[in-house]
Amino acid sequence: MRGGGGLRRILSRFSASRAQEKDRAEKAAEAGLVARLQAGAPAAFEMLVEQYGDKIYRLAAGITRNSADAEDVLQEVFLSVLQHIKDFEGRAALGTWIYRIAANAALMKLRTRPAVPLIPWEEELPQFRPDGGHQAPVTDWSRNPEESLMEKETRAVLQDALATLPPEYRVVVLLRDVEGLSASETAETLGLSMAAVKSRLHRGRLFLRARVNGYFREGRRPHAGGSR
Amino acid sequence: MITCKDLVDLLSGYVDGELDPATARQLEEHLRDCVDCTAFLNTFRKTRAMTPEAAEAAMPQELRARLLCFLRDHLHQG
Repeated sequence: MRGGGGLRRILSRFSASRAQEKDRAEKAAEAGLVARLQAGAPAAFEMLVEQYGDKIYRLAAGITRNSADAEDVLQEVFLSVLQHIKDFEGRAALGTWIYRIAANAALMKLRTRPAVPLIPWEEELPQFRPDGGHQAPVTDWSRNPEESLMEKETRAVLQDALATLPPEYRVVVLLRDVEGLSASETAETLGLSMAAVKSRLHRGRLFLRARVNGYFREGRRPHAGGSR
Repeated sequence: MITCKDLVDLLSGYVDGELDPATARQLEEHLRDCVDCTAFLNTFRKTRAMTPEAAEAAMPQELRARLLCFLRDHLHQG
């Protein structure tokens, strides 16, 4: 048994050292890319578009829910990078810096739109009895047969739910669960505390689950509407 | 002993692996005896797993070409 523990420790140390090595290589590659961007090398900008173009477009489309706005945001982000890369000192990771520009630009687009109708959060969050138990039995629809029609419909329900989620929650869900940023990277990108990121992420996930749950419970797509 | 409400409040921390081991153990003990919370966890995880696909939006090729052209123009001017 002792031998097994020793092997686990060796494997764990090996895996930690591989992770550190990978991290160092990624940082070196990023520093090289930043230096080439700062020198104005066209190939470096092409590489930046390759690395971040799809990510920024997806984030912008996710926040604005509008392809024309997403296109504007994409252009604004890369123009901003081109204009300000000389001032980039590497205090944040390049990706965090770019995501921050993109999130701000996309959220700014929403400020010009009329306010959406509100839905009280309480209706969307799980209900509990005074003793802390679930108010009603919970159905497990996670193992439903993956019929293509149902999958497609469920995806549409989730798309509607994402669109209905208030932008300050939506952006956190997109950065964490779609772009795969860590909680601290998301906090840095949005200028929020870790507590705020975790709280918005959790509420956002509960909201999305509630909407999909409603679809499985009632067999129809919930009404689309705003929520704050 | 934790309640179903406590468990739901801790669920993001649990699926993200951010809970301390003692709290995660308490949560798992609760899950062993609670079918409703197990169903809630499964559907919470399923929703999270489906989110990237629901948020997928690919940048059109034509937009990529225009963006590269736009950047090249600015670099030449700059």
